[in-house]
Amino acid sequence: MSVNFMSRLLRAGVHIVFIIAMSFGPDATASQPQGSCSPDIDSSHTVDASTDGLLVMRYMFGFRGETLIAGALHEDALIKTADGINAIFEQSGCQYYLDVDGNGVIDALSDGLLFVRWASGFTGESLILDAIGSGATRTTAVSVIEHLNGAALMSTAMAHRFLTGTTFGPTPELIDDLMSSGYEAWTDAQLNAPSAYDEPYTEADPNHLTYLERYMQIARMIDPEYYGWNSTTIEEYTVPRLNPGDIVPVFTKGPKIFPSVWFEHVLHAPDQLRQRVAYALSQILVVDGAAQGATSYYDLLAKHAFGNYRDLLIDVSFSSEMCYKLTFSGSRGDRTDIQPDENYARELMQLFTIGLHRMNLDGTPMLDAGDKLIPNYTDADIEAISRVFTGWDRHRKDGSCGGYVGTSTDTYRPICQVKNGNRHDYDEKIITLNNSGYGTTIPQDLTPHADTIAVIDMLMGHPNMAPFISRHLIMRLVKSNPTPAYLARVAGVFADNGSGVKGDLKAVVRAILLDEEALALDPLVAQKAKEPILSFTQFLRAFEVSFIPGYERYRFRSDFQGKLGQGPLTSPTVFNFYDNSFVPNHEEFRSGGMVSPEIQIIDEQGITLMANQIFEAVTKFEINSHTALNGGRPKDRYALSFEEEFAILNNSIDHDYSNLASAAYREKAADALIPYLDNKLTGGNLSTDQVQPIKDYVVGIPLRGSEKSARNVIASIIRLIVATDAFVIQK
Amino acid sequence: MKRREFLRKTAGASVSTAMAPLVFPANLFAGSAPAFTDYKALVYVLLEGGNDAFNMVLPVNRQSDVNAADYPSSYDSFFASRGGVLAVQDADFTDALNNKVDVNGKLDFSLGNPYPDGTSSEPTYRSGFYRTNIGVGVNAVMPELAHMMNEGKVATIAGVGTLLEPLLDANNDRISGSQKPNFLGSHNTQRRYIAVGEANAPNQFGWVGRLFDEWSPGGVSVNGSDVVAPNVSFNGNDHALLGRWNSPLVLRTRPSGYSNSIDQVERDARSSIAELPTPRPFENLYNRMVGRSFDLGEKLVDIWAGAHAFSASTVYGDPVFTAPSLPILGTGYSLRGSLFSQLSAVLKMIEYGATPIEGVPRFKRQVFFVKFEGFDTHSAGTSGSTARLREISMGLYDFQNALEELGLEDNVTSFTVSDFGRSVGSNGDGTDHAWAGHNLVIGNAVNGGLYGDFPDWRRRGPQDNGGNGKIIPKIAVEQQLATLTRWFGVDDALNDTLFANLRNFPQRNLGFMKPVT
Repeated sequence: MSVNFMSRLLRAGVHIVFIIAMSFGPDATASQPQGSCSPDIDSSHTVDASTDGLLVMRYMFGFRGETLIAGALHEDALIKTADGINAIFEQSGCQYYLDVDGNGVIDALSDGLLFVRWASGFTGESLILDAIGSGATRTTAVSVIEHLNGAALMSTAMAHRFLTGTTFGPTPELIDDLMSSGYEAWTDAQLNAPSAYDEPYTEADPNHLTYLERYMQIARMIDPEYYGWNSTTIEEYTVPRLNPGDIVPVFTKGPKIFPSVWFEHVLHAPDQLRQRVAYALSQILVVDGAAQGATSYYDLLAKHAFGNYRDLLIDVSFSSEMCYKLTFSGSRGDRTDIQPDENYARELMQLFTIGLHRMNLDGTPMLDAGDKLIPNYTDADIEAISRVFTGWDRHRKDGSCGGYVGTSTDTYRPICQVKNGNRHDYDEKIITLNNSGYGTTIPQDLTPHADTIAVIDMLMGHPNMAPFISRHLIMRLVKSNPTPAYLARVAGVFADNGSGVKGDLKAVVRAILLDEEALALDPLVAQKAKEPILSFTQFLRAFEVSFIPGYERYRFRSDFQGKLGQGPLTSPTVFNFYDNSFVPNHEEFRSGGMVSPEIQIIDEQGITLMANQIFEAVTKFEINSHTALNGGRPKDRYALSFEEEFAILNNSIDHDYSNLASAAYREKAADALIPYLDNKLTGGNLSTDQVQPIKDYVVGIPLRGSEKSARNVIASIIRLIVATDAFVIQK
Repeated sequence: MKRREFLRKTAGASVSTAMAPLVFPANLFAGSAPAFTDYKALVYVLLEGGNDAFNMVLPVNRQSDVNAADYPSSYDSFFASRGGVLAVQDADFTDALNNKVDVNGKLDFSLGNPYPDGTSSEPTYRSGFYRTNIGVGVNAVMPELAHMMNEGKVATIAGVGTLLEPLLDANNDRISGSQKPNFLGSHNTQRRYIAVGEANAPNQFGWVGRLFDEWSPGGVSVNGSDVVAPNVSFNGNDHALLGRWNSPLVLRTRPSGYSNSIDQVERDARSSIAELPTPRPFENLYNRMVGRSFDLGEKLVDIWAGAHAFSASTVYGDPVFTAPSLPILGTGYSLRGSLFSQLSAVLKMIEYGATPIEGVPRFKRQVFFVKFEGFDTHSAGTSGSTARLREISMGLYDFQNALEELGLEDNVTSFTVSDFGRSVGSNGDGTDHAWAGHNLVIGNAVNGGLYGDFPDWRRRGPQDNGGNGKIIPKIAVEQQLATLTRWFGVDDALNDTLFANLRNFPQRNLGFMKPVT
């Protein structure tokens, strides 16, 4: 009967789209498991009886594989395979949600029918007629509608999870925005958002400066006289925009304030996804530093974050910072007694482009006839490429090239050839890339610049690059252990964006985020350990981090590398903070071949150091009681706001702090604040078992009942939630 | 009483170890351990980046001293092949520095500072070298190392590197059909092979971790139950320490980060959250660490508070692990101090571990991992190395003296390894990734001397892999490691499982450790 109903429905062309505007997840009840489910099964950002409804019916009738999805997907569906759709249904949140009549069994002829009728807009008796299963706990139309309407198109947990991977921390505004626009529209809006690197430069958003521009503003704030500004005005630094080759003034004793600039950008820039991708790229094309050179280098990453990887490689290869970091400054190709420096030639291949050995598009290693790995290059290849990177050095501030490394080095400008190119090796360079067929022969007498471009184009042509770079980006943004199929889909886009262009990062990022493997993730199942510095930025953004009143900039001078195992551009080597192949000491990781790179820098003492960092923030840096406003001299200068928390707390204790002296009121405060903070910090991922000890703690604290008590309650709940796996582990 | 309080108050067992059998079924621990009654520690010093060891210890025999057959490995041959980036100024190497040491070969400032009082490190680095009585020269900035060599406390393992099997015979002819390790010159790959104790097997667990897996029958290590694991790192979660069942304790060196700002009640709340069962691996992994972090913090604060204050001093007369002032140092910039602080922290842990409890040491066996960074000297090969080599020399010397003050000089052996050696050929101001290098083993239990031979330095010579002086090793790093573990109490059978390729080499034991009595 129901199948006939379905076919009739479809034949009649009924196509009722029902968008649910609710923006909060289902109320937690005792019997409801953690988790959530969207009625938008195929993630098309609409709920549609003829697609989502049909999928539900077919799933409940036991259809799997192609028969589950054939002809049942919405044209805007983001989840398009049977495996993806099945993964959605298997989530505990959906298993609960799709038991529409609440009898503990999922059944097509009751639950499925109810869903389809609901999605078609039926109400009242016509919704439930002959469709309530035996033993049902929801037997009225009102209760069925309440249950089905109770799920948002996208739950806050789902939105929170998506934003954790794509921003430096979800905020209520971002969550609302994502839930109303949907994954695809939100992502596209971010991918096309204005940035500080738009050309031609418009003054549409004069506050949105590049890293270097903001760096210079702050340097000038710190000391308008000292840092070599002299007659130079800030405008000369910021307008017009810096272009490669522009001669810009250099201040020689610049303070190392990149971390402060970095935090300001990542905490507040509206183009969050660009900033997040730039940060991921900073962990592939690794340099370290905190002065102007590192700052302008970081601008390259942000500028090309949605551009082409080839352009990024070119700019990086000509950047002063990389030339210094990988030591080809001063390398000579005009002598026979010494060899050119091989550092950049090697790491350009091993770390920045193709990796050590051949892999398939899906990232699995390619093996030779003897089951051995196939090296991508030999020492001879490295030696040949090292001859390309010769004759280069960094500009000095007087405009001359090389010969001195120190405070008079101009670290913004692209590198230059020493002595009019006399130290470059102009001979032919034969690069076979281990006889793979992907090598090239660079003819003699190309310009040094053209030599570099030839090497980059050779590497762009190597099939390893697509899976190699794609895997890096997936691991930083979404999950530690992508399936080969997921990686292959993304790498396919890296190899060809659909218009025959390779290395289109905008298309790659889009493919990573909108892949069904990313979207079908159960919001309850962890995908990676969060990077400690991202835990910290997320925490800061959750509490509306701002400047300290009267102090128009941030100061972040903590040793983040020492404390958290990472900081902005602080990796001690070009091998980044952690090893992407790190297998933690855990049976499931070992037996499942799973990696967790970030866990390599989250250790017992690191947990204490993070706890102390958070402790300092919540006890000393609240904007109305900031230690810096009371004579304190903290190393880091930023302020947090607990305005919302105070309001919720006050409501729960009848607006009378003295009530906090009573355990009964503390319990009320806990009941009000914990769910709020849980939603804010983890997307509502705390289990009831995890909530209980937090509640017990709050109820148990002896308090006198003052404003300080209120602060204490808020701070301790935050500390406890931030220390749970629900916060530290990325879902 | 809450369960946690109960566990806390259970004498002799910390929470985490009490819970270990709950986490891992005991039958997974199939290992066995000898019944140790003494204390021994190995200090694994990784010189990260590929140490230019050829400039750290050098041959001293001149062309004129040797017959033609021995010329290729002489000082003059090295000088001819290197083409710059040398530890001395010119072919007429000077050992004038020896005038600045006393009759025991110890640096003596009453004879004058051997280093130029300058702001440039290069003249210091290249101000000559020390001749030691074991027939090797030591870089000018490492007088303490030279002194320890003269005292017989240092084994120099020359021409050591990653190997699967011998590649060259005694005449330096290539053994036909022999295979080289993969990805030579790749930092992380080669370090991984050393950490695993087997080339071409990057996915195996680390040899230190596997050793303690074996020595943890029933899930309890040879050291008994303690939150201080037998394998401790003071610089990162290195793969060498990672076993199938054992994971290292990873610590920072600064005690200010040991204690947690939160109070006991809040800790208990956190612990009860962390102890909730979760089937999910990422969460489980994290929660296990949370529990340990509290126990650990308390213990570290105690260990640091109770640590011995040393009266031993540096060659400059300062307290151990103090960097001298810049003009005296002559390096142009100060010592990093990273090795000093790590070795100083290791000493505190050794003191804790070796302390007798009812007549037997608290712990029996420990391995400490120390990482000293910055050896990837593609550029500034001489000036950039000056302060680091100086710190190695001073640090290991102070460490040895401090051990003697604790009376533990026979119980602790330190050794260096590095990603790879660097090319004999130079790129003008630095050297590139290569293969064989020289490693050091230091301690009272060491039979001092030179083990292995200085290589044939000639570029495109029989020991060159390619044309830039990338020296093919004739000793496998596993031979060095197995000699150390033999002293540590590992038998031949276990050594064969720790180092799978050891059986491919004729010498299982290089003999640089004194026989165990």
